[in-house]
Amino acid sequence: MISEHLVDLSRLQFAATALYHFLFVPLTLGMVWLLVIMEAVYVMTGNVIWKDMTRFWGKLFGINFALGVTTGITLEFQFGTNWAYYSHYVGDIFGAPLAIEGLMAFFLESTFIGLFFFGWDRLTRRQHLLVTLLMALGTNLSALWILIANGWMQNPVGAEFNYHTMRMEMSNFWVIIFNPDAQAKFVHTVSAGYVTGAMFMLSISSWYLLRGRDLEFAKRSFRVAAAFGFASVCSVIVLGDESGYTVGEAQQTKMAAIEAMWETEPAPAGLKLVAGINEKEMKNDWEVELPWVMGLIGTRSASKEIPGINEIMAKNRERIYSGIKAVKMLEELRKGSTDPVVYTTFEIHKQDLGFGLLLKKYVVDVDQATPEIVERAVKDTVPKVFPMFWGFRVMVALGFAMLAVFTCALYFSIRGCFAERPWLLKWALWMLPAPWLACEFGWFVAEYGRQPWTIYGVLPTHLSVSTLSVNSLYGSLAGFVGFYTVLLIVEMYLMVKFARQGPGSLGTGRYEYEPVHA
Amino acid sequence: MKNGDRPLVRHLTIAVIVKLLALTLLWWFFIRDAGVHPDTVDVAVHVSGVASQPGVALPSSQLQGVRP
Repeated sequence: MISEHLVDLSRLQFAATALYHFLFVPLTLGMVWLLVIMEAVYVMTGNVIWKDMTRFWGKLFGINFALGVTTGITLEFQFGTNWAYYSHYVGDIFGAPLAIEGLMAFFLESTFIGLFFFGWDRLTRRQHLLVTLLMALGTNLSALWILIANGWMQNPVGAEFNYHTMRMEMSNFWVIIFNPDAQAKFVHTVSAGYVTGAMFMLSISSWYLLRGRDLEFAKRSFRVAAAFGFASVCSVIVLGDESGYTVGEAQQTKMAAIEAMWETEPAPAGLKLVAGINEKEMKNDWEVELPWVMGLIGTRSASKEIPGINEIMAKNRERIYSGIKAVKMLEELRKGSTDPVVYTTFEIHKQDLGFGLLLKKYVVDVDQATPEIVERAVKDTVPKVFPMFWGFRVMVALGFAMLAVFTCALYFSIRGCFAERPWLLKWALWMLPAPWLACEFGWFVAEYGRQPWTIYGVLPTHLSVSTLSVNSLYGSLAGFVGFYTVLLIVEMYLMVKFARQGPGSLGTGRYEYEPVHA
Repeated sequence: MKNGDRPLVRHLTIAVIVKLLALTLLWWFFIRDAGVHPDTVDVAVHVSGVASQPGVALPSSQLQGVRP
């Protein structure tokens, strides 16, 4: 059996690289639409300040893109090294969207990004705007395919297990594409990217306004960011609610852990704002609750119950015992049994095969699992509640804090007096890290909450890991973390350097702090 | 490309080249020889523990100990 240390190290490596990678992604997703908006205004009005805005913010977008591009490749490395069994088991399904994403990224995104930067003097205004629009579509379509792959890990629909090939095989491509989890995740994630882009522009514009420099440029940028950010943060909240609803349908354990709901409560359940979680005794020592709210938003009904952790664990216990039969029948079939009873029994219990495989963490022969071992496996089916509960609340709190700042920014933009509100400008400046933090906490909740599965209900994490040496994993982990840390430092250095230069760095002669060229 | 863009393009070109070199080095040291290529039998052994289809030799990786 694979050692738990090896599993934890592989998970840590994937989590660290994915979290670093996602520091770059949301800014690209969001900034690109802001560029489309500013350039569209330029094409419509012919006012050159909008072109300058597109070019200047495009520069900062370019820094982030150049530093962020290919940072996802280390994740793909790991599918072939640390997660080879996972790749074999589900590669037929998981590989297709990843391959399409690669093609999208190279042929759409990269081509049009090249044209965006080098096409200003070679294309007409309208042609260049079309390029910017296609760049935005390419960037967002790349995200769509990644999130289809991830959505399938959360809710594996449109696929069947084949015991001959020991793989999950695609039974319906369109079901995978239109998987409700994937679609909800996609719109929620890209909206979070839009918020990130808007907050980035709002914060830097606020800094210019606080310094009293490039006022016309900064004011227009601030207004665009405020309007786009307000619309985006509203989308994130509404679509996040939809994402939560799909989680409640497909991943009840995750939902129960997020809500620290140990027992099934009468419908409609209350929403816990804060709670003192006692993981050991599986209860909350205290809690502050808003009555009915969770039931209404989690089930869209006043009469439907949300199952608590204990009820889910009882169901999972049944599924583990059913899964033991599936594993035994699979073993018989793999030995070459042609007994129709074996085949029929396997088909009956096949949907619980993954639950039977959870026992492989503790015993080689699942038939030998004692009731104590089954209980350990049952407990494994629930992720730790404390980090889920608080991780989710930090994300939501950051989301509402951003809603507040964008609402104020938009309100004072409409009234035309935001530049005379230094408290608002300082607030907007200090909120700069908020969207990144919210994104990272969101991904943590989504992925940690899927444990103990790599493919929810199908493939346990401990069976997905390859048998690598611990030393090689420590080496590659250090290498990846060092690599990403250096990239992040370079990104921050370049961002600060060119943001401080401001639109003067365009060399148009229309702004302050123009660089002197020899 | 305008004059004002040149310093940034220079910076980004260096950054991308260094990044690609770093990725190549990471691949060379940690990934190149670390690839695992399980076939159906390997996965069957890994997942279902002992079984394989008749006529197919069991791989050496089947020899697994019980975790203490």
